[in-house]
Amino acid sequence: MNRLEFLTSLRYCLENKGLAQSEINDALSYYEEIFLDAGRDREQEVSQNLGSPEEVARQILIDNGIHVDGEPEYKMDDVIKNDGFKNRQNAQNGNPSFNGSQGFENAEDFTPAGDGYRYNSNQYNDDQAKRNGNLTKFVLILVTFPIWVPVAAVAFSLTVALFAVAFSLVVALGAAGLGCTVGGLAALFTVPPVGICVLGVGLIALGLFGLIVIPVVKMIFRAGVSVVNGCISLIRRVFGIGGARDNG
Amino acid sequence: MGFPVSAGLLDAMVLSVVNKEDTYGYEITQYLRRAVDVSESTLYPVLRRLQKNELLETYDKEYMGRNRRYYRVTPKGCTALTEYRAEWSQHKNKVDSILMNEGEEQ
Repeated sequence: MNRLEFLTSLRYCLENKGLAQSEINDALSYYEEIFLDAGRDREQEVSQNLGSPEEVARQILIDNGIHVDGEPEYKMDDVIKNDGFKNRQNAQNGNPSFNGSQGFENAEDFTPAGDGYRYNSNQYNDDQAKRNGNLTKFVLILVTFPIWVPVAAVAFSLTVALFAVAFSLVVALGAAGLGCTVGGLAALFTVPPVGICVLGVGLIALGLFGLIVIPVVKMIFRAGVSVVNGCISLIRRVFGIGGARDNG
Repeated sequence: MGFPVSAGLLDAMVLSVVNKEDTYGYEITQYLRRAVDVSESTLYPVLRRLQKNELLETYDKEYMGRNRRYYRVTPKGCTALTEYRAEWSQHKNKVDSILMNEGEEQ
């Protein structure tokens, strides 16, 4: 492998792995310099000394806290969903002998029921993991409350204001209709043309009110219910189905 | 090489090499090879670490129409090197007292 092959391969292995561009450039210029300083006719020898570009890249990524392959990262969801006891233990601490120490307190009265015990402890761990997950989420929610409290407050007050506007428009329409009708009736006897006009307006308003009052009230009610449902399903999604069972 | 070189010892040796004279990556490795079996890829993380801890700093100097990165020991690196040397000589004495039967029954 010559200089160009090595550097191209190294760049390929380092890119798109979350490593900062400055780190990539730094590594590439370091290795390029090594080749140049060693001399053009010693490129093969140098690349043999360096090892494979894949290995060099892997080491750089590890030094920067990036794990590309090998040990999978600890994932809370896997821990919760995975039913395999062994798998979960590996994910938790990578220590297969943990299994033995887990059963240790039961070792004195070890019977065929030991399997049952293990199963129970498995269930227990499942619940425990879920609780830990919920705890993490709870802490996260608590920590981020300066962000979501204002957002939630704004969303809530906007919704309420929208409802209030719709409702008051309907009420105003009804009140105006009623007022105009009564006023029009009264004016009919003093200034008949004005009275007729006002009475007409009032009757139109009352008619419109009668048409829209029931749909609008229904709509507001339905919107309110869906907002509450939305909030509940959001909480369910955040805490998983178990959390929802606890809540309702 | 029968004895593995620890990261700390490598840090100290690189500091000592650069402290003698400002130098560049390839030359540091060549120098270290007199004593230990290291490759340029072993040295890279060492140099990065020393830079991050501000024990070494770099500057570019033109050489044959290209830039070569030179390393220089910072004052902090100088202090660290003094400490490393004191620690090493203590460590060496302790190991020698067992391995070479030195300083026994005195």
